[in-house]
Amino acid sequence: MNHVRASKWTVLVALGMVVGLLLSGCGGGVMPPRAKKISRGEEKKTEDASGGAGEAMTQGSDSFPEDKATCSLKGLIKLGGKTPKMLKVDISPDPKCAAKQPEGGLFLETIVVSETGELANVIVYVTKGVEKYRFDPPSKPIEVDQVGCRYIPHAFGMMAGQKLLIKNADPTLHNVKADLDGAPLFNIAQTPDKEDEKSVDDQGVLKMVCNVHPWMSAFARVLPHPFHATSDKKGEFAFERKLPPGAYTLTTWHEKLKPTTLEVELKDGESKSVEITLSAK
Amino acid sequence: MMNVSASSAPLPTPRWVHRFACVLAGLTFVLIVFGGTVKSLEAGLSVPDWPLSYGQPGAAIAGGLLLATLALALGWLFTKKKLFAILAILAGSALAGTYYLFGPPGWYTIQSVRAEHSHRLLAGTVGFLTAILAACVWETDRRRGVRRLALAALLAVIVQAVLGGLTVRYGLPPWVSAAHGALAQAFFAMVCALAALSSPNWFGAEPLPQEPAQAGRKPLYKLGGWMVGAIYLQIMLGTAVRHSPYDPEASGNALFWWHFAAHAAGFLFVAHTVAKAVVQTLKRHGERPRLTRPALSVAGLLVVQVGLGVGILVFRLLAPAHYEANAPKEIVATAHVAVGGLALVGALFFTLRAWRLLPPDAARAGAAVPLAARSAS
Repeated sequence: MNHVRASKWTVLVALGMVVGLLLSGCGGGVMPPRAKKISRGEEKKTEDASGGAGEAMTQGSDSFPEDKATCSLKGLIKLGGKTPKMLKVDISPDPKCAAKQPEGGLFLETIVVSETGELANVIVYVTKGVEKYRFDPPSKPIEVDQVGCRYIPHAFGMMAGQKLLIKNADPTLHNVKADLDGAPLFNIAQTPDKEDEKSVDDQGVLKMVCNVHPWMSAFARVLPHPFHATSDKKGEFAFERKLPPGAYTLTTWHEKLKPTTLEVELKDGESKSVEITLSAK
Repeated sequence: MMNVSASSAPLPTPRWVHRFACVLAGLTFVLIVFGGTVKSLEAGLSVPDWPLSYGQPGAAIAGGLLLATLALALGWLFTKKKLFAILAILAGSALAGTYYLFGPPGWYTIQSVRAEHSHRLLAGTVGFLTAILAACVWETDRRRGVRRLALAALLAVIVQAVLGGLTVRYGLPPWVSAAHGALAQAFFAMVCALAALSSPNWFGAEPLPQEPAQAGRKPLYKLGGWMVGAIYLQIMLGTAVRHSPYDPEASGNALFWWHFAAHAAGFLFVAHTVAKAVVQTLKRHGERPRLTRPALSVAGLLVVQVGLGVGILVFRLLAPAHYEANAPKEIVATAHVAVGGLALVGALFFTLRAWRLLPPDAARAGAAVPLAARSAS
């Protein structure tokens, strides 16, 4: 019967479409659209997540004079104004997180401030003074672990081109979704004890979140040079690498607070300590 | 409107096909609730890979089994050998089992992963059953419009799966997510229409006496059609609102508020079409519950829907941040999605029923043939 034969062929074509569409949905890993890679000497405007003014970060071609780098820089970050209340997180949706909950509960790390006003998780970095030098990214990756359903560290600086080693020490599932200046970078699944190494090639603000545990977030300021430090719970920071004598502009980055800048003059062999106060809204 | 009347004296669809369509419609409604829950919990990316789940091959194995099931179903379709049908059912059962056994470790203990992975499991099941239903309808129903509707439902569920995958793989692009939400309701309506069109009541219904012609008076099925169109447009606007970025701690949120304004204006359009259909139904056929019941149900659902919409707005404006567990907020938002789907289906049922009982003149002659006569022909 023609009618029946035609119907069978139509079913066949429809099923072919099913298979085709299913196959089209499969394939390799997804790489969402990314911003163009910034090459050396090229400028890039970076908007701070906190809504601060954009800034130009450049990298020159001169070799860094290691033999002249005799100045060390450290400091203290304080929070001015009214201390905001730290929000407690409800981690009951994942019992495995709840089991590892610290005494007194888990608090959001948006603003971590001591009773005396010392502020943690502020990234301090050089914005002027080293732009004529060229730096190669360190071969050692930056490690970010997930412990007790929070990222450790929560905020850090790193160099463009440096690797990021993401670990999962938790006995639960995590995903790590990363954006660089709002542009999707990667989104990976992490079962317990899994490790992934990712490359961050461009400058900007790297934000990592876990959609399984929405309170989890971590931030990195990706820079063209290694002169950065992050304040600890006592509000203290110290640059790991020494700088040559000269004038420098320091800038702060915090996920919630507006950036501030500070001019410093370093003399040969000097060990300078600065104090920076950020204001709460 | 497609030709679904008895003008070509179709044979009634087997009752089991109707029951199958009803079961699938029920499962689809549950799937919509699951999908709404995923969005309410912001759990869409909690399983970041697709079609795998945390690298687990459940979905990949299921893909192979799905192909095997389809091949066996084809074998049955062409040869009518029972063995193929039995093997297809076994492969289909293994497919469902695979999904459950090969999920990410401990997925059912974590709220967000449980929501997303369950949604995927149920979606796979619904997709699989839709393929079977489409084949059954194609094989048993002689009405061209119904067969096309079955294929359209199959196509819709496939596109829906691809959209679901794209939302995950591209980090929830708002328009893809909104399209996924809107197509879900269209698919639900299609399956419900298949259930209605294969119902014994559909074949058993005999047209009412023709309404006296009056200038400017629209037939009820046309009023119903407006209602369906308005509600679906409102659903699309609603999904746009739901998937617009909104940060309670940021100023502006312009896109969200534009979509919200359109959604609020859309309510006026929906209310107008529903009020018109209800008033005309009560006026013309107030004594016929088969027509008044679906019309009043849609009006009742509209009232509930407004309340839920206001509730969502209040929760959105009051909620400090999405990471704080807020069960009432999640329940209200999901209920708004579910009730929207029910209102769409209610309006669709009203339209189909009005069209069946009060068909246009061209279809009236064929529709007047009673069931017994058609069955005998």
